[in-house]
Amino acid sequence: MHAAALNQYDPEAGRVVIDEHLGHPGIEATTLDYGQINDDMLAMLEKPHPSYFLLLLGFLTALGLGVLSLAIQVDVGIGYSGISHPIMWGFYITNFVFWVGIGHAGTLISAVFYLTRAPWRTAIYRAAEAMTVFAVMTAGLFPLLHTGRPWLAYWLIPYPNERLLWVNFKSPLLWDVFAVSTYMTVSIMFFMLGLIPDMAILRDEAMRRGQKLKALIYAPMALAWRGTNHQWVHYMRGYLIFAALATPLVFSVHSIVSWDFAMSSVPGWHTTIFAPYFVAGAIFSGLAMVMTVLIPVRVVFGLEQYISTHVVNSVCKVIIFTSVVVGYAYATEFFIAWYSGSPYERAIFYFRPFGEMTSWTLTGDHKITFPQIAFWLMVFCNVIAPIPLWRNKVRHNLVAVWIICGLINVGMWFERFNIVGSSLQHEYIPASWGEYWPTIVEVGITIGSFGFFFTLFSLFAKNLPPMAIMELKEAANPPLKNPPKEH
Amino acid sequence: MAKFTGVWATFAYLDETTETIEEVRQKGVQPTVLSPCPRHEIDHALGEPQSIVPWIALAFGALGTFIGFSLPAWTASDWVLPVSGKPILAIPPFAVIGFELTILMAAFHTLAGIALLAVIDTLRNPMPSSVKKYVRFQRDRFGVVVPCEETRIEEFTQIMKKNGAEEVHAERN
Amino acid sequence: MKKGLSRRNLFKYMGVAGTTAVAAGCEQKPEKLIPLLVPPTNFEYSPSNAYQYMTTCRECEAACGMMVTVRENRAQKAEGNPLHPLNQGALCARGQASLQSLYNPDRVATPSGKSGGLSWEEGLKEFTNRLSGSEGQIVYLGRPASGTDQSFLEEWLQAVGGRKVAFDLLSPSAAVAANQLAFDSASLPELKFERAQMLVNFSSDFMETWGNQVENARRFTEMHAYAEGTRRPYVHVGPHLSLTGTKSDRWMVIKPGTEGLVALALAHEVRNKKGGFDWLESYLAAYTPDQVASAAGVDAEKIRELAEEMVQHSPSLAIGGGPIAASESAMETQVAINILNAVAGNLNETVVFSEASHQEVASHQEVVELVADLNAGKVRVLVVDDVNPVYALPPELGFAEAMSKAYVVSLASLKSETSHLANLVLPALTPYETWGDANPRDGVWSLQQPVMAPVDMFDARAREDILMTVAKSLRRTAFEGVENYRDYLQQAWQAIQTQVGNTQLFENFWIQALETGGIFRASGSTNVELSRRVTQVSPSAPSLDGLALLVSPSLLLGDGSGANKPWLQESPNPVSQIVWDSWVEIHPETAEKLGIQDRDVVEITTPQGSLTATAIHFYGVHRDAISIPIGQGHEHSGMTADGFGVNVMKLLPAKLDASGTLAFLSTSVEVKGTNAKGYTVNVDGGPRQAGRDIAAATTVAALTSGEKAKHGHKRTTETYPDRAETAGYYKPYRWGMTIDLDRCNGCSACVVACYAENNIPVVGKERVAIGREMSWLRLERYFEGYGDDIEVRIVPMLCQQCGNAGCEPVCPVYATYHNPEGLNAMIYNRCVGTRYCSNNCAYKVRRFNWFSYDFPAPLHQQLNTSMTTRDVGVMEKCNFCVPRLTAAKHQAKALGRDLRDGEVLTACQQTCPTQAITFGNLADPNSKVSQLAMREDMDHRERQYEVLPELNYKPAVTYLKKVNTREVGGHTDEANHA
Repeated sequence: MHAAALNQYDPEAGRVVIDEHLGHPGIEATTLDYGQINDDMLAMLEKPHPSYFLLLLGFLTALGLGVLSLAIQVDVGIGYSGISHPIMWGFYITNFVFWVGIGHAGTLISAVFYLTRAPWRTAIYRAAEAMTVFAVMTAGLFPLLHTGRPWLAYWLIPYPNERLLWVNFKSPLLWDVFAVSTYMTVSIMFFMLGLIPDMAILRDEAMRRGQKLKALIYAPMALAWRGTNHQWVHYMRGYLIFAALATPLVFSVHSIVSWDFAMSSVPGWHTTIFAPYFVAGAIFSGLAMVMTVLIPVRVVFGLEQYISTHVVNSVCKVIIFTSVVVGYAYATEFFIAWYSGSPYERAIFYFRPFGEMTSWTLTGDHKITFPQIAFWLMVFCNVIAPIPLWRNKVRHNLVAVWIICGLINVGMWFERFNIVGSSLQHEYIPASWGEYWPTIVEVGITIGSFGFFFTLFSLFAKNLPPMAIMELKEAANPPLKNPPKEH
Repeated sequence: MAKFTGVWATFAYLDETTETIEEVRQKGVQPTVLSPCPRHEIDHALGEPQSIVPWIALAFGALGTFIGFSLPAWTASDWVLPVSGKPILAIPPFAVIGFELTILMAAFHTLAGIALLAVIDTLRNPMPSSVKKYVRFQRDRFGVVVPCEETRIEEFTQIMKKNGAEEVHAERN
Repeated sequence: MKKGLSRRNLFKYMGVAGTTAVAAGCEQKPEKLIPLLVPPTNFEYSPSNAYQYMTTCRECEAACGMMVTVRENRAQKAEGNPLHPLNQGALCARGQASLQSLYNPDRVATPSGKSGGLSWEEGLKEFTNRLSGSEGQIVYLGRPASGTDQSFLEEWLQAVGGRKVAFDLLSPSAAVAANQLAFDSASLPELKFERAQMLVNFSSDFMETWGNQVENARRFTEMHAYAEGTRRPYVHVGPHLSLTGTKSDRWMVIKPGTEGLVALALAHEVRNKKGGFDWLESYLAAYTPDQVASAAGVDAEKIRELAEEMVQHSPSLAIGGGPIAASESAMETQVAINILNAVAGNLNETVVFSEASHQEVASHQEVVELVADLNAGKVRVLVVDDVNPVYALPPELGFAEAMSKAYVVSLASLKSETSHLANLVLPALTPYETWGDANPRDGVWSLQQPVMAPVDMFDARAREDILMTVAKSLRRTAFEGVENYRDYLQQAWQAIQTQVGNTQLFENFWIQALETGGIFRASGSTNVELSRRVTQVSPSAPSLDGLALLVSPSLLLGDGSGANKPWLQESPNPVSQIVWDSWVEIHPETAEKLGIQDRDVVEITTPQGSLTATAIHFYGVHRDAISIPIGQGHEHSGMTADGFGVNVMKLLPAKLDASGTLAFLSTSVEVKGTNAKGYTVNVDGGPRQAGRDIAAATTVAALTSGEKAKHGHKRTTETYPDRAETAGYYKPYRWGMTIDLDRCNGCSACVVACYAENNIPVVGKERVAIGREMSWLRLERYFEGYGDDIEVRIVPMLCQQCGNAGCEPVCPVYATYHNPEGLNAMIYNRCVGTRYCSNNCAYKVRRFNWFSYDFPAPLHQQLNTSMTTRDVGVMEKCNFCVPRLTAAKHQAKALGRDLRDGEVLTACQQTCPTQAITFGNLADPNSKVSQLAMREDMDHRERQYEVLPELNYKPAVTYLKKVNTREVGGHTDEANHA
């Protein structure tokens, strides 16, 4: 759709000229003709290799584990988890923040990079967008299942109940309800909107190959799409508006999630930098997850022409940038803790890396707990591990990129825990300091959330076009009887 | 599909398509064009038609903002439950709700708008059912559909042929 | 572990059963009872109506007056009788928890023999048969009798032909013997703390188990609390800091068992300064500070200083005793203290004797003889009434084996190790269900009446009635003319009526007595003087090589009888903060020498036996000693007692002192560290307050220096943000509280009161271990300083009912909000359980229902019907006893006026022996709470502070700083340069 960016029609010359300024999408596939692109993409939706089912089975097992754990917890009570006084939030909220963060990459690529005309997004944005939808779906589960009475979670929705008692719009948690649900709705709509023309393609291809049933299935999702100029004109403008709406939304959502913490008075939470810090972290983790997922996809489906090294390279550059931002945020937190002079801030930021201050124990014994492990993992994975990406050679080494991105995912998860879990362990009242260790249920549900996410994604990868066929065609050189002569 | 009288043709090349469109328009007929993907060349040839979707988004976005502020304000004052000595009508927290609802309403009605307008325009510009049977428009072919009186069919057929149309179909009914 | 699991489940699984059985509970109508002042016209079911009955607490020998609140014909709360001269409305933790012996699931339900269950007829027949024909070979082993019980038992023993042996593990017999020797008065004096200018305490835990802890605490505070720019000092002399000791202004650390020597050294100095008692000169010459110094391991100069101080502050008061000081010369130690009191001129001033003691005193000597008799086969029938010697006595004494030689009849309301071994167990009713009286002090006749019909789950009878029935069936002449013990009691009280010169009809006298809880006259006093016999005895330091074993009585479990009461197990020991367990206190330096880490499991060995327990580092114990609390390690006392902790008595040799009192301090121990970490559960997150003034203290010097800026701050008059919507706020009430940390002694009565009043579930050790205790009011304990300079601060922490609460704005569903009276209202039913409120509560006083907790029957019958219970997944917290507020407001409204100050007492305030807690209306400038929190004058304004004021949560609770007489060194302040 950024055709305008790539090759513009010059009325004088009466032909299309390549815009050097904006550069080439860096996707080799754009040299192929429309039919070829079509066939390549549809090939991905062919009957899968048995190993695919094996993989799917693995994901489903993880999901099943999660469901089982959840069932136990709801039955016995939230107390079955390890969260306790004073650490009232643990793995669940950590997972919530983590998954919401993962989601952000998708919207970033599909909307923000669309507006900023980053041509390399074309190949990966559909997959990334799908990840957004699935990640937000995963994240959305946690606020519900972490409550003491999940069966009453609907009370958080403002509806006129029998006593006309409404909800507290001043509570950050309610902002969450609105932000996350809006984000989920919008990204699903955005996703479906992008799918319409491709669905039409699938429908007609099915017709062409005489697969009536398939055609019947795809037809409804294609919404009677014909690709007439009347449809295109509204579609294109609408898509632009969507991108323009999704861009502020994506930034607002993680800011609001961060305010769940920043609005409190908990030392280690009550920080003004949280919004940008969280958003950067979200993009950071999201892009890492995109790479973690798409590099295998590229290898499996042999999409070197589509997910080209140029694309990987560009994503890595953004990862480096966000990594630096996140690292800077860590440093700032410590500086402010020291600079504020607040003993409570100082205490928690001493506690995170080094554990309890020995002079605060009765006789000076010292022990390392979960938060310290989390902290150093976070620093290593998010600040140190990405450093090699500064080298062009590393960025072109898929294995290296994949490993680093994997580490980043781990690191970002522990960053979330570091924020959620450790701060609560050392608040204002020393007599109420506590420790937190997760129980099997929390671990189970966490694993289950990954199972849920990857199950959905692998189903998506084989049933919907994982790349925007229509956009690839658009990015590709149009079929011209007499092509423009370069001069 | 409504009765259709006119000509439609398929093209393999974008430039041939655009030339055809321009010629047809010089004859004073606005054709309907089918393409596997949007091309600005086509828009240009068709004379840059514009969409009113942005206005829909704007209108409903504004509505969202209004609801986003008025709902919290009303509920808060409908049953006064003070918390932490904060103002009953607190603007900053409501701004969050206002913002989110703005986005939600705008986005939702954008989608609705696209669907609705697309349908309306399609009805306004009928096509022969034979066009739908031709399954390569989504793949790699361009199509130009020219509604006209029976008398002018021949004329347009010629233009199509001249511009290298692969197939030309005349519809009389 | 299986045991543990089952117990855990017991606590865990749901109170559905609870509610259903509550309905069942209201069936029985009790006999006609006489409540306070206005007798109710009927006993119709009405949860809103609460009736108060005055009775007597029989948990320990102190016999405090008790006021029991009864709703729906069920006793639901035990409080102190405000009219009673001893405790004056306050009641200790154990006293309140005695409700749980009434409703204890482990009560003896039916008569049973070794072969199994019996009917009452069979049981009584068996009892009678055994008694008949064994005259002279019957021994009744019971608690020291008081009041009418004494004559009743005498009469009974005469009838059946037996003798009585009284048993009390923590018996003050040594002191009594010493008083006999020194003052010719075999009784315990009334200690007039309030008259003393200074208190010197030799190791006694007078605010825990020594004497009447409630009265002691009250009178001590009267003396010790800071007022008008001064405070009268309390010096603790001993090898161990128990809760009592932590209240001291100074701790003089002396070697175990040298209290007597130090007392005499002090006497020596004091006499030299004050003169008099010339005949003591030669005797005391042997106890100059310098001679004593080395033996006591204390600097002679310190002794001189203390002596000087005592001379300055005259009259002073020297007290001592308790297991810590109970060496083999315990009696001599008491004599030494008596001498000190005498030479310091405290006799008849602060130490006042009355003509006669009415309290029987148990002597362990008799028990030793009993064991001998049993072994010699001189005893055929042993009637054990409500005592547990099998558990309490050192096994070396061989009581259990000896007992097996006789036929043992146990009258027991609760399961115990002793009743477990008995041949015949007859279930006895608890004091809540029976008649009785006590005469703890001259002029104080305290009446005990049944406050409710016996709990329907148990087929028990009053112990006196059981005995009476048996006696009657043995001798036709026995107890002629009396149907039951009530009649017997009334006869006795007719005598009392004449004794006190009351001339009205007995019925009126009786009803009056029931209404007020007894007859209270001023105690008579008689002057005594120091007998010259004292020179015949001389205390000696015990020869203990290695680490001495200090047996510390337990504030909450007493001699172990409290162990089967969930509240007492779940309430943390205020000093160690440990629940559901016993522990070994060891000095960090000693621990380092032995290579024992904090929380290591250690093996304690004495010639008598060995046990393993968890060691905790504690500066409050002498370097050459370890300390283990009494009370745990039960085997057959019920689900909340069995299997927790260890029974320290197993380590003790069967040694007695001259007065025949068990010598607790008579053995040294071998401590061996193991690598294992102990599963000992403590509720404190951090032992120090990290430089945060949560438990703030100031010094007398600072307060009197007049530099106001530095200390405290005056609370501003309470206002709520002035908006149209909240115009009605804080009019007329803004509830607030002040807590005076200088008065608070950490006795934990408030904690238990809160459990009782608010239906707070007990969750068990495993859950407390991960921070799931539900206590709404906790005592936070912070250590200051190091080594002997250790200071212990205790601050009661409860919901601060903040004006700008952190919990309120974050709740998405308005489950908590600020109500017009300034309370953070908590609406359980609206709570979804996001728990954000708890995260954002700086004081961490909110508790979450992680499960639906169960109240095993019949404990659920104790639930306060004016207060709801909470289900799984909702948050809960202190609400300033809002049901009490509502009830009182309704009454006031009926009278067409607002509440007056002091008309509502919160549960914690009501039961506080030292009146550290004041509750009231902050919007009324004249209320007591306002005056304490806002008044201008010196001694309060200087001490006011709020916890974490910098957060601007505007808490409604104002604390008054603890006042020290010294600057404690080594305060940690790293928080500021972390």
